Amino acid sequence: MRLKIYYVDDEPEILEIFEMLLEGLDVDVKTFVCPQEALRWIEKQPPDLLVLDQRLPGITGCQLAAKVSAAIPKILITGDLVVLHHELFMKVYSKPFCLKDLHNYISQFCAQKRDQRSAS
Amino acid sequence: MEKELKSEIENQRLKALYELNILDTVCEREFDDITALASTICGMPISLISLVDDNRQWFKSNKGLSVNETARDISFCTHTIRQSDILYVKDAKKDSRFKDNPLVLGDPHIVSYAGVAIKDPEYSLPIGTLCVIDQKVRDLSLEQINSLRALGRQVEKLLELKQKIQCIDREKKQVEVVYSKTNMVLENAMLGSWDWDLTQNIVHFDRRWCDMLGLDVSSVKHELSTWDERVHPEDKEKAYIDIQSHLDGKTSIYENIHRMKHADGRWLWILDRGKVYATDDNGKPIKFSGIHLDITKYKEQEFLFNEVQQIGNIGGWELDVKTSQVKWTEQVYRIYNLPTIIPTHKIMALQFYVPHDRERISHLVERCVLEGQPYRGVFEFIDALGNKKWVESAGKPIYSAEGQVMTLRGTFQDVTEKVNAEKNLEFNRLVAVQNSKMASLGEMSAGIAHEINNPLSIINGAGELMQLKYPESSGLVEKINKSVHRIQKIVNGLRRFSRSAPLSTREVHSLRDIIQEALVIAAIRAKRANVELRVHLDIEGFIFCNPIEIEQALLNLMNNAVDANDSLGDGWVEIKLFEDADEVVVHISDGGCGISKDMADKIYEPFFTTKDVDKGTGLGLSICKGIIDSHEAVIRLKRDSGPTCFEVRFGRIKEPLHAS
Repeated sequence: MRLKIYYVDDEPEILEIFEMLLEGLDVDVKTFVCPQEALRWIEKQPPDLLVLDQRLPGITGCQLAAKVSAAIPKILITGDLVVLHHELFMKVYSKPFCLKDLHNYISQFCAQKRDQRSAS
Repeated sequence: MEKELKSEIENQRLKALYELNILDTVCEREFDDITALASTICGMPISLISLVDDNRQWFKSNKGLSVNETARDISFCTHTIRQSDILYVKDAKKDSRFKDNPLVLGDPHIVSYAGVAIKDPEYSLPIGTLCVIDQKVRDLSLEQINSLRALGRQVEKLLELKQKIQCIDREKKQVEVVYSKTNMVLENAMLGSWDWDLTQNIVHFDRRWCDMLGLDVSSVKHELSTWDERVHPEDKEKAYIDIQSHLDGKTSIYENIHRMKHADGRWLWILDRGKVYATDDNGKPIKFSGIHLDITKYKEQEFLFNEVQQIGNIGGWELDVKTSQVKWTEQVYRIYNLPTIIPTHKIMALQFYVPHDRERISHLVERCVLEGQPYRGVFEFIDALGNKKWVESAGKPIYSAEGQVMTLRGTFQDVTEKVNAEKNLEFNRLVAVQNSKMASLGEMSAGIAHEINNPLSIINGAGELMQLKYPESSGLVEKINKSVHRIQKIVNGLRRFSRSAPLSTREVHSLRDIIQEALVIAAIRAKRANVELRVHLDIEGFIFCNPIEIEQALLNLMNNAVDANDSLGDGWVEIKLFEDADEVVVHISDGGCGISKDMADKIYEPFFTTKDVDKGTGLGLSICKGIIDSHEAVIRLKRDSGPTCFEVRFGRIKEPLHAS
């Protein structure tokens, strides 16, 4: 089964770029503009990696992360000036982020995940 | 009837008579004895001591007559007193002067008469007679006549004696009046008195003196020790000094205020005054007396007054316009930090004000004297020990009866604490305003940063993707990325205003990084002002700090340095970071005209600014200093080198333990 990656951000252009970035990684990328919709999907089909923007309509990335199972690894991407290192996230990126870095990180994560699966 | 002219002599005679105070007095044995003797010696039944009044003769002694007085114009004695010697009428019925006299024709039917004049003891004027009368013709022998003369002299002696007794009585009465008056005064004034016989160890204390001290006058020992034992030990020496200088003739009056112990144990304040009133032949004092006044009540009020002055830190003063002498209450001396023995003068008093306020207060005092204009003001003042103070002084004119200002009176209050508190309050208020401005600015910048960062991410991301897909566009995308980074840096600069990070967090940071962050913003200002930035950051310079606060402080210094250059261009600001032993040092110098010595003392004071009114609040440097002080770092203005240079020294951290 392919790895599932969800990305929640209220900027559709960023989501588009994200999708384009991960095209070659052989993963299912699903993006959400609406955090509520994202939550429903997460409950139904929990992703292998959840990427969240900090400032979302009506909720912050941190709050959203708190509602989701701690077993799901998460990445926070924020346009805020002060970058919080939060225990809920494995990694925090500040905007504007370097796509190359993000791409490298996610591909490494996926490789590890696949290794774990094949091992188990 | 011959009408007697009232001559001068007659007036004097009457005056002499009246002064004897004898007319219409009761019978007296001494006088009656004499008339009885005269009557017996002369063998005539009637004898009188007759005093000749203005228009009557009155009988002080009367033997053999039923009346006490008769009219003067018909009296024999009126004739007698004009005579230097005895008047002897052997038979009145045959004497042309008296034969028609009613006293001869009717009662008491005088036939024989002999009288001698009585002279008053004071003026020797004839005031009356001693006479003998018979209703028969009587021959008088020479012995009898001489006896009559002798008895007349006895009457005169008797009068003299009586007058002297009267005199003594009068004097005695006067003395008594004076004594009782004095007593009354002493009593009413509650004055005790003492009388010291210096030749023996006797000091007489009166009842009031004893009452004052709760002592029993009947058992008190009248010697110096009675006083000495009760004088407060701290006051005794001065009291004896004052006594001695009076006894030595150095003072015209002895005066001393001392405490004395009352029988019930409390201390009384006594005003003691005295004077030597008798000396021996060598001029050595032998008698010394004086009074005691209990002034405890006034002293207590004085203490209260003094204490109130101390609590309120307020004193009073009085200026004599003519002499320029000034009187101060104790508290004024205390505010000046001067001993109370210093004589005070207007010119001297003014010296303590700082020059600007000296001029101000001189002017106010002058106007008060010339125009009667009262004043009140707060002045800067340096006391005798060099302490800077603020005083509030008020003055008002006191007019003479002629309407001239003779005296100025006023108050003098140390209001340093109040003025400082007000200044602090104003400073804190402005800092709070500044902080709330910063807080709202912070909120806004966080929002703006977020809004800019999102589209930047898109531009950046799109660029990077483009680079991956179309490697030939790499050069152009590089430009896009560079520009994105520039925008990002500026936006990040806004972070200093953001308060979402707790301010008190202190960690080890590179001072070079902090300076570089600050330079992003400072560069914008420098560019606009056409000021060249010369930056030499040779080391990392790890320090333990709150980076946002330090950045704020350094940015402030940089901005000041940029502003210090004159607006014509060619300006420069140099920023140097280097190590000096255990310290990390930043120098921020500029090409401005420098800071003068007296300004240098004030630059860290809140509200001090050299900038135009609407350009600076004067808070910058004082806040800077506050931040730097709280980091246990030191800021100072280097005055040894040419250009203006602010130096900040931080304690150096050798290893970055956990760099952020």
